Amino acid sequence: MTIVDPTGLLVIAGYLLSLLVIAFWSRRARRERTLADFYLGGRSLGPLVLFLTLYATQYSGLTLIGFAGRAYRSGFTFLVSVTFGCSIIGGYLLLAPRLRALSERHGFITVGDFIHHRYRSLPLTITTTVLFVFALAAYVLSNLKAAGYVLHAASGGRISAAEGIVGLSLLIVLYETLGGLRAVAWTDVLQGSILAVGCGLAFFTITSHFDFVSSMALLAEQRPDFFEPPAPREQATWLSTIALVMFGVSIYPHAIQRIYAAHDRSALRRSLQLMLLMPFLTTLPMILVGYMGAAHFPDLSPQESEQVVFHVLGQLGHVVPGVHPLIVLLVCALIAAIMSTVDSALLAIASLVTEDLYAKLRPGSAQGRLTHLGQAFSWALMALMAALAIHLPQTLWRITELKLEVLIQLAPGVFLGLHVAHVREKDVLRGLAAGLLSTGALMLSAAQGLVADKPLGLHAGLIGALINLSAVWLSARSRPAPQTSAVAG
Amino acid sequence: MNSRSCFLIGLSLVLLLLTLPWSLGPERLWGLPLWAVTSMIASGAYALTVALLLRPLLGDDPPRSQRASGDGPCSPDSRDGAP
Repeated sequence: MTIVDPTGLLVIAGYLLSLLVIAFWSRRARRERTLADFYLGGRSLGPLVLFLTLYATQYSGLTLIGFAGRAYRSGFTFLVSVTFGCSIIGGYLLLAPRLRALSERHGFITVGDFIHHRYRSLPLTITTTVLFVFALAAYVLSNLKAAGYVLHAASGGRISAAEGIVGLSLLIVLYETLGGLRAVAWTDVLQGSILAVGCGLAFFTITSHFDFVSSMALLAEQRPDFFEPPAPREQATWLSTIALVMFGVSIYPHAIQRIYAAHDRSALRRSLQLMLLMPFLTTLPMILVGYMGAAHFPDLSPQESEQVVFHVLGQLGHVVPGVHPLIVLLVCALIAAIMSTVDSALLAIASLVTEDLYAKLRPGSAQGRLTHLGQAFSWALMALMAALAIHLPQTLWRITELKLEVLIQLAPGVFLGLHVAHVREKDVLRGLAAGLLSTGALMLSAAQGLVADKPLGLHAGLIGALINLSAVWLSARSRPAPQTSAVAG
Repeated sequence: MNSRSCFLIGLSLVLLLLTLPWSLGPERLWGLPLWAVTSMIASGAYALTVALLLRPLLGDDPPRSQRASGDGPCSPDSRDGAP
């Protein structure tokens, strides 16, 4: 990565401090000491704030550099990331209208509240909560590791990765406990804006210097394989990826909390409609930058290709004036993308533990006590996550990549719970067990070389989810038909 | 599952299937292979359809009186979706 000079580091430090100012400001806007005020911002998020917090949360650091690097290596089949970005909102379309209506009526705070309300089963609520926490913790861990790496590389080694992880963790947990979702959402406004502007400016700077069409002609000479249409197996992987992301990402607990936190349905609708633009305005430009990098800098190693955006901008910096501030802005955008993802996941974990585990096991706990408990838990969890991000052995990092494979196993319980009346808790638990076991077995078999990494081009998690769905269906069919078939309103 | 949910799920799946890239020969558009461009156009059509469907499905807000008055967890005495 291009080294940011001391002035650039001061700008980054100023940006990070501004997040604390926003957090103090959000604390002053607090209305009451309740879980809904802390974890849902008092259910008052308007369309713009909701859109930017959804955007900043959903688009992690991966979008900015990871996707460009992947496009550099994988070719045009990676355009699937634009499609799956849209499919996530397609997932919301299937769950948000009904979930929003239920949350208005029953005051849900977490996804576990819906599960508990729908199935009235403590074992199912606890099981799903534990799995959600695992997936979110894996998400936090991988993003913290990336944050440390970015600060280390951007500072030219002046800041170690461990110092970067500890510093950013401290900052995140501080502003999160100061203002809860309100602080997270308000900081996301700044972070989302920087991310969008950074991606846009990087794309326009690069395309204004390198002609796109002639770059693609150059790419066709160097990488003709990029231009081959996908084989049937790759087409299956395309669809598998879309399904995995659509049903896995749309049930992220922090995304569902934002459905509850919207001021009204109109705000939610407008923010989701705006979100549909972002794969075309953020993901696609970054992927095209990856292709232009492949055309003009074809010899990057896989590790170097991860930073292809910075590599191209760094090269441009030698011939085009004014690129250095853009690099600083992009580093800020990258840190912003990572932080906004981590803070939302951290807040969601704290709410899941307090509301779905502690409060369900100890009903009647005071709201103020639960809020304090969640804040204390956030600090403890962040300390643990920071320590793990610094010290977790490389062999265990594979576990953090399993989050989507696990999350999609929870999707039948949420989607069927919303739309199919006669599915019961035992059906969902049986499906969950079948899905998790089959996914685990497939992944272990693939690791041992007994089966392909993606049998028939499909992800193990998706195959597990199909087995999960079949088990739910068989379990529900084994009972006599219910009297009513419509989902009650 | 009610007919509207079935229709939406079906429509979503059909539209997503249309984004699947198919071989369309060696032609290029704006320097990109034609199959990539058509897939992106199909993704745009999918996004537009979802945006249009959000309007009727999310509907208008209910009267204030029907919204949750408390901030605690959901009431256990009514189970939406349960028989």
